[in-house]
Formats: sequence, structure tokens, C-alpha cells
Amino acid sequence: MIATLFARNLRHQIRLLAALLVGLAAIEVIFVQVMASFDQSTGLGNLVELLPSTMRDLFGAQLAFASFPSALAFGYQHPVVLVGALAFVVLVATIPAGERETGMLELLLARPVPRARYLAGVLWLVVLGAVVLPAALLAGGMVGLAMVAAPDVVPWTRYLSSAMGMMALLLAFGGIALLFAAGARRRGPAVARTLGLVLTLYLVEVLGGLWSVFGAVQWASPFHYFKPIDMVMQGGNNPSHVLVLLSVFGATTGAAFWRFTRSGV
Amino acid sequence: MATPVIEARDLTKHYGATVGVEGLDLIIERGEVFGFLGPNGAGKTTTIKLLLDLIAPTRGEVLVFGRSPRDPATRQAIGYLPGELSLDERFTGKRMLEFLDSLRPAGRAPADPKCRAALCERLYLTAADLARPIREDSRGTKQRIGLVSAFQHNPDLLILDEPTTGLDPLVRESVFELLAKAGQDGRTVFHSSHVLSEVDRTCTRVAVLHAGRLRALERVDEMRRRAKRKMTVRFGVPAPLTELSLPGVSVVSADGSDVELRVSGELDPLLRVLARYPVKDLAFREPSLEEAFVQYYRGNQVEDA
Repeated sequence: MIATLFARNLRHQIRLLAALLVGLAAIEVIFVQVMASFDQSTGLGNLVELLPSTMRDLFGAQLAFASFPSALAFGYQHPVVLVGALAFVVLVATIPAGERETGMLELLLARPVPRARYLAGVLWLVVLGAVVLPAALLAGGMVGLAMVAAPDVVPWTRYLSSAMGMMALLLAFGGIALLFAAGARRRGPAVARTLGLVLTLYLVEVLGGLWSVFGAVQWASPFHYFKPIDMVMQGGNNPSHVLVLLSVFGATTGAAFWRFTRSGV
Repeated sequence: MATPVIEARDLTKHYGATVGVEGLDLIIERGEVFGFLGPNGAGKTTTIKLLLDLIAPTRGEVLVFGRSPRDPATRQAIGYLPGELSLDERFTGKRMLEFLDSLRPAGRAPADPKCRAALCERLYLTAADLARPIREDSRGTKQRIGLVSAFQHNPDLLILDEPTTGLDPLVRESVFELLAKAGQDGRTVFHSSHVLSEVDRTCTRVAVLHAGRLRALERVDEMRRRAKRKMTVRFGVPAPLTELSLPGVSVVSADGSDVELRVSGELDPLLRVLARYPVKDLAFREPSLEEAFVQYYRGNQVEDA
């Protein structure tokens, strides 16, 4: 039954997912090309020197690793990439609120569908998105490196940790969106609350690098635990970071199931 | 004694300070075609949602086939048509019906395609209707797809909330036939409606709900019997209105020798008066459920006041 519900959800989102997969892979291919071009002509280190001091403060330690391999990892935290991937996860996770709003949920739950299974059908698609979207970036990186003839210098497997970190980040926000949607009567407010929270937490993390007042609460932002450049330069994930993000996913998803099984339709 | 199909005890649902349903006690037996009447906002849909475990009661409990409606096996035995039907607009009608049927517990047989085809035919749903995306369908077509989905797995209990909404008279007739057939087959029908004439045609027993409270629960024929009957008399002389002022008799209208009366209780005193005058014509009409309901409802409102 979960597979049936999942298949229906996937069928409805397959075009969007396919477009994002192609788009993210293409972005990473282009990113590799551009960075390789800069690296060969100017040198990425010199490029960093051209940045305004505020920007250098903002990116701090990450710029210390300004090199071709670390620049490629920046693709995993590029705002366009993050917006696309997070938008998909949030859109999928708020399906229950949308179906409650239209009345479709009433028809489905009047059938012998346990509520937990209905929500699992949504969760499966959230997890699928969180896995395949970073995988598309990874694939794009692999193709890009092959095109610039650098796969021996920088193996694509070096970015597995970045992809895994991104997956954990997407799962964390997917869990948060699922929790908002579990009790919402309309989809719009559930999406707005989630995206508002995503933006706030992103700003907390970014501004935390500039002002100590935000720095004190950076720990509360899931973005604080997603450092793709550090991951590449240090040769792997910080396990505690991934653990924090997966804990957020676990806790919010558990709360979403609890809330959904007790809320009215 | 057989387990009732629906048993509600002190069933109560409050939405904050608003009463959805209050202290509903109800038993519906197998094979009944049961009418659930009430004006909009009376609590009919709230009751249905409680029967399907779509909302949890504030107090009391409801059992369907002696089990909690939370049990998926209970809901597999129910065919449901919501009052405000919403289907997946991206599916075709055929795919929608197959998808809803596929949501069944493991090991249960799928709906018989022949049975589904027969239902579609009976509700005038063509292959072209079923092949179209639902977003292109009219309201009536969507309602007919909803009806097929409620009936297609041969459920023992049908819960139908305003089933004829948006249907043309021909299809409405087919729905009445389907409801009658379901009752004859020993299945139970819970027909919620605010259209009395429909319930009058299909149901054997009715409950009347008002402001979340059960106001009446009786057989349709009994409700009719208790209602005041209308009598039209044409006298051969001017109508003797003074003498017609009898207990249980009220004059609705009078025009020369013609008079329309509303009568309840014993007829003897009235017949004795009529016997003393030349009567050219006399007609006695059974009240419809609608008239019975309106009288009942007005009486209760007076009592409430």
C-alpha cells in the first residue's frame, strides 16, 4: 500500500524531479568548466584576493582552501542549487496539507489506509529526492571533471562526502516541512512557514560569520552542519555534523507521524 | 442478537466552543436504508467523519460492525461518497477508480471489473468519460465516478453524503435504484441528505439532526402517520366553519363551499359533523415526509422556544 501511494506521488512529481536532476547536473558540469578555466588562467587564489574584505570575512576559513577541488565543492552550497533542491523537498513534504485542503485526503483515509502508511508514501518521496538530487550534482561533477580532463587530479569520489552532507541537510528540512504539513489545513501556510524558517536559519548561519550576536546561535541552524568545502578539504564528513542533521530529520519526522495520526481530516 | 452495523453511544464532537455533534445515540441494523436528515450545519458531516475515524470524538464512541472504524478492515467494508467530493484531477476516471480500489488490505481481492463496468453503465459513464483526465470532467461526471468508487468493491455499508448532488434526473433515478437494490441485498445504507423527497423515496428509517442534537429517530411510515393529514371537502352548502372547530382539526383555507383542513388524531368527531351536511367531494391525502418533517421540526422549535 505504501508503494502504491508512493508511486502516485512520484508520478505527480516526476517531471519536476527530472527537470531538477538535469538542471543540477548541468549546473555542476558548468561549474567545473568555469572553475577549471579560472584556475588555469588567473588562479583561484588570486581571484580570492579580488573579493571585497566583507566577502572574505563572510566566507572566512572556507576561502583559505581556495583551490580547484574546494571550488567545485562550492557547487553543493550554491544558493541556486540549494533553493532548487530544498524547494522540491518542501513541496513534496507538504503534500498532506495540500490533500487535506482539497478534500482528497478525506477520500483516501476513508479507504482502509492507515494514516502512518499514507504519510510513509510521502516520506519515501522526500527521501528519494534527498538522495537523488545530491547524486545528480555528483554525476555532474563526474562528467565535468572528465570533460576538463582532470579526473585523475581530482577524483569525483572526493565529493561523496559533500553529497552525503547535502542529503542529510535536505532530509532535515524535509522532516521540518513534514511536521508543518502534518497538522496544517492548507498547503500555502505550511510551505510559507517552512520556507520562512529555511531562510531565517540560512541567514543565521551566514550572518553568524559576520556578527557575534548571530554567531552565538549558529548552532541552531542546520546549515551550520553542512560545510561541503570543509568536507572536501578534510577528506570526509564530520560524523557529528551528519548525525545532528539526521537527528533533526528523525525527531521532526517522528513528531510529524505523531501529529498526523492524531489530527482531524 | 446480531451486531449492529453502526452503534454510536453518547457520540460528541466539539470544535472549541462550537458543538459539532452532542450526545448522539444511534443504532443501525444490517439491511437498513437509513436517512440522516438535517439542515446545513446540523452536524451530519461531522457524524460521518466520526463514523470513518476521520476525526476523533470529544466524548463517547462509535462502533462499525462492532469494531472501531480506526481498524482498516472496518473501513474496507465501507463505501464512502463525501459531500464535497475531491478526486485526483491529474488521473483519468478509470485510473482513479483503479487507484482507489488498490488501496485495500493485503490479501483482499480487487473489485470485479465486470461489476465496475455494470455500475458505470448504470450511471451512464461511458468509456470516453473514464478515459478523460478528471480535471476536464463536469461536476456530474465527477459525482458519478465518486459513486462508482463507493459501490465498486461491494461494501457491506454505504455512507453517502448528498449522493445526488449535481446529477441529472435520469442518473438520480439510477442512484435511487442502486440504493434500493443495496437494501434488498442486505447491505446497509447511511444516506445523509437535506433533500427530504430523496430520503422519502429511499429510506425505511430516518434520524433528524438539528444543531448537533438528535431530534427524531423513527420509521418513515411512522413519521408520516403521526403527521397531520390534509383533507379537502367540497360541501353542497356554504362550509360550516364554526362547527368544524374541533379538537385536532384546523382550517387551512376556506372558499365558499370548499374548505381545506389539517387533521390529527381521531376522525370520528369530524366525520359526525360532515355527515350532517351534503358533501359533494372529499379528498384525504397522505402527508409526504417533507410535510411530516416540517411539522415535526416546527413543533420542536416551538418546544425549544
